[in-house]
Amino acid sequence: MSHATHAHDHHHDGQTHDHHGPPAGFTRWMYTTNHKDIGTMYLWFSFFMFLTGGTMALLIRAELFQPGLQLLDPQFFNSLTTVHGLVMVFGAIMPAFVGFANWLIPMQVGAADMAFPRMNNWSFWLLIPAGLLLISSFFVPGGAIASGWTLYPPLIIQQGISVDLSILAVHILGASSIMGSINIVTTILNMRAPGMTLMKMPLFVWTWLITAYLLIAVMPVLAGAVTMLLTDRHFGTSFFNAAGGGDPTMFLHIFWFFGHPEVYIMILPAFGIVSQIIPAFARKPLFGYASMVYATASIAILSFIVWGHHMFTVGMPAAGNLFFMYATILIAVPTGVKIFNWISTMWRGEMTFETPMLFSIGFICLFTIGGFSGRVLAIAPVDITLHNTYYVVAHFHYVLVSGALFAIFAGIYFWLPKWSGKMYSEAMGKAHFWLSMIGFNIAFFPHHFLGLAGMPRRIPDYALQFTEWNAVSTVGAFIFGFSQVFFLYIVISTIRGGRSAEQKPWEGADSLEWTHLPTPVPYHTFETAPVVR
Amino acid sequence: MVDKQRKGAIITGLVLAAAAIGIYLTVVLKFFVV
Repeated sequence: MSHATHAHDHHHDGQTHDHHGPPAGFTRWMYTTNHKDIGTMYLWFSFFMFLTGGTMALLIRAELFQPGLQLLDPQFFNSLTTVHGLVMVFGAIMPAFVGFANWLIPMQVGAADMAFPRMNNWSFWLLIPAGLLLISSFFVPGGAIASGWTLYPPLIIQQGISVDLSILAVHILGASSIMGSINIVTTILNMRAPGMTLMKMPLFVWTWLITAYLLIAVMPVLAGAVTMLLTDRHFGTSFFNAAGGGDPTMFLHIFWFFGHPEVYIMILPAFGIVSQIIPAFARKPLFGYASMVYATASIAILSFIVWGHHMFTVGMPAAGNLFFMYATILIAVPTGVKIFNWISTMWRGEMTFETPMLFSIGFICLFTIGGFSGRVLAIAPVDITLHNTYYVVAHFHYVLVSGALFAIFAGIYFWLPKWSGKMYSEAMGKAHFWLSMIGFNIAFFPHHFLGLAGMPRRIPDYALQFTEWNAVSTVGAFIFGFSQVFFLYIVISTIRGGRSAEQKPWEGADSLEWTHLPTPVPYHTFETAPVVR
Repeated sequence: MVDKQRKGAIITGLVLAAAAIGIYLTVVLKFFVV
């Protein structure tokens, strides 16, 4: 990775100019244009939404603990599955990665801040009304949106006002994401320190550059789709309404043209985080840096031509199904390159297993399981059997929870000492890892069995033969859920009372924020750009 | 240097914003016009 020297002789020139720190009180957060403040707000917002979506998940699992209807009205159950999905995708995972981007990209490329700091503030504060619209839709007549997070017509055209609230929320979230992405691309392309060529950038910056391009390309497509839903509902159009000559299947095509790149939007930054952590704890440079960059770009490009694998059962021609099947299987190649490179980085490294490394290794193992079940589902004839079963639920939770979320945990433990200046308790971090690892697998591995046995997803009741594994899954979900409250305690206790962290607590970490900035990082950094060799 | 950087940033930002708006309008107008 890159090595940097300072523009001037005296140490830390440009990094310790705290001539004006943050203002006090609420105005600091309301009006801030500082990338670190905004990153912090993104991360806290996403954690709040994660707990909100997690509570919904636990209600779902509580209902499914045994067959029959116990706790929830079926309509409310449908609302929970829908809003759980929307909140986790748009409110928890995506903002968490944007929080990382805000904190890390300027520091890792040697810039003073993001390219458009005021727009950065606006991108964050748009999230609040969007989150409120989503959650408050539970309290309007007819209950919250219950169509599933994919918003499929014709169901969505028939439901009440909560759908309009959700469509508005998706529009706002999309605008926020697009502005955030423009900021990220512009920062990376225009504000790198002298000598920081593209191929010297840390992998996290690379993955976010590619992710931001994906977002700019597909978020407007989602916005277009939900705009058309809105006009179908209120302005007499029939784009997706078969009763008026429209085609509901067209919505599926447009939605998944957005939706599949969206899946990679949620995993590529995770790849970036893991690609930084593994070399640090293996004490070796990342194996195959250039191939990692090319693999990331390949995955992003392929993500645009695989959307049909979400809709093998809608009656596309066999040639279409075959095209999407082969294109999907092709993604295993660049993904395999990445997994090979991570393992090769660890090979004969002087490894230690602190919490960030544990979560990263957990990520590789479990994400690979999610990848394998993805290969299974990519095979069109198999998917026709498994479509809409719990096998699909198992697959995407292995990819998004033990994939994206574990990488987020890894990243938090890795960079929290740099951000806060305090070191977390290693014992508590490891406890959090093992509780999460065990709870997650107990919760979601049985979903493979349930799916293969034919249990459909999105139902509040089920046939008796599915009872045992559902009970096991619910126990695991509660272990996993409560271990995240423990994580909240770890983070707060670290920030408030942890022991002071060294400038570079991780021996093998080598990007600019570790090598050039003190711990905790000052409010303003790199006012004078470092020179990278 | 800073002015050049600022100019580059503004141009990049405008191009990306135009791309996003263009894609949105392409999706919506394609269906409205047909």
